[in-house]
Amino acid sequence: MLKLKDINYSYNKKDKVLDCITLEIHEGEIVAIAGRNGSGKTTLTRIIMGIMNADNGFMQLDDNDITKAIPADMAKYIGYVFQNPDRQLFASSVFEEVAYAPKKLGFNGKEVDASVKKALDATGLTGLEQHSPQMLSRGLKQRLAIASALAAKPRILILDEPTTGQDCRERTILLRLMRKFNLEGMTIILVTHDMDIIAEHAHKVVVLEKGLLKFNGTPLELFSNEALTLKLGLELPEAVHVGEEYNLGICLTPRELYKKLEERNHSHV
Amino acid sequence: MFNFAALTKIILALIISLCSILINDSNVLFGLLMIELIVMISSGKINKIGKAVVMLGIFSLLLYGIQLLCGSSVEISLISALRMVIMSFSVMLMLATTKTQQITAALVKQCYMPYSYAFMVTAVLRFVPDILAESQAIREVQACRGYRESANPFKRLMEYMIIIKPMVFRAIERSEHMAISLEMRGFSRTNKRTFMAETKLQGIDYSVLLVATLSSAMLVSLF
Repeated sequence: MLKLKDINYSYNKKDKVLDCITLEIHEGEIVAIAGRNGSGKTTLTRIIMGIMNADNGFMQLDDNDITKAIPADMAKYIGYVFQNPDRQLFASSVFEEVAYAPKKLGFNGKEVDASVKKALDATGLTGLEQHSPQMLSRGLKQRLAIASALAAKPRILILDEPTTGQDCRERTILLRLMRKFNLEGMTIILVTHDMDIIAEHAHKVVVLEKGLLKFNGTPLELFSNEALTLKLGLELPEAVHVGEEYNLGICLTPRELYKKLEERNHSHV
Repeated sequence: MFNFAALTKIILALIISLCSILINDSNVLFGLLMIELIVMISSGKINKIGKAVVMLGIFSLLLYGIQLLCGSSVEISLISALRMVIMSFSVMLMLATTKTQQITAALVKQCYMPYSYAFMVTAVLRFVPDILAESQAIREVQACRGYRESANPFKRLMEYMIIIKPMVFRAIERSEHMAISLEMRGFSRTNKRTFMAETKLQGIDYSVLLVATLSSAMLVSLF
């Protein structure tokens, strides 16, 4: 379990970015972090990863204090996939890119090969080992970034807006991958602006506003309160809109909507 | 003090650089370096350029060591290192305290440099923070994948070598995008341009340039 208590962060010790964030993320959860631009979402994940240090507060992973941990310490436990795939690939081949983390974490030769193979298989990149990462499409680059994080065998995966700039097909592939890793037991922390993704995939939503934690609950709790959702600068998912319009109650996903519509049709017949 | 015209700062950087090349006394060069450091601290820009200053300091020490190893005398090695660091600091200080638009305007309006060349200079300067941010982003990615900075400088250098290729790729890509974007917004060599940036020299600029020229001429003739 990842525990954050009273995390504060400010730029130049005056502009507050995070204000007393207290949060618990349990094993196997998909936790979405949402909020307006500049609300502190990415900063929060960067602090969890150790890229930035909180001004004060306490962080714990299981029983270990990770408040002062550096990213290299966290790499064994947490995989971090940055927002822009172009800025996180640096090796000369796909194989080298994925092998970087296992090598740095001291895996032996066989373990490196095995973890690279597994990560490439999991992300559907097998066969591209010798390709240059720079020459891949944006979607493949994002998948490669995920594979590179997975190769270190982390328990938690942080995805910072992974679907931004992706076409429909890649978006679907990425979300399926995320779901698959989660079903295999991985905890996912997902930074996103996409309410449909939150409604369909997240177990829990955390909403930040100007560095303050304004909501921490399930998607159902959030989206069934339209006034709160809008007040936090978010939009209702499309399925919720349609469901309300047809008096079907709260439907988080198109699947739920379809099911309720079908039930209503049957009852009318 | 830092509200001098851009041209004044460019000329001052040139005068200091020229002085450092012509003066052959390590004590005087050291004095020049101290003056630069004092100006740098009082400029309030030390937070912005502090890291680069430290890196340059380390690099100049390396240069000093290499020269010594190659058989140069202590004095010559010291002078070479000081020259390098003085010239770099003067340009760095000029860049840190002047907006790039002002530099372009000064180069075109007062130095009569063709706009496309002046723009090239400022475009390169504009790229520097982008490239630094890019390299910082890659360092963060590497750290997130288990990289620990080694105390061994050669190992660190090898790690830096890995990121050079993708950075060159991206710099080329970025410059192509920039060129297309410029052309789409009507950038042309032949267009007559106007500048909003004020470049006119004031009395204080003339006085500073006069004092700088006279004192550097005196230093060069004495040492």
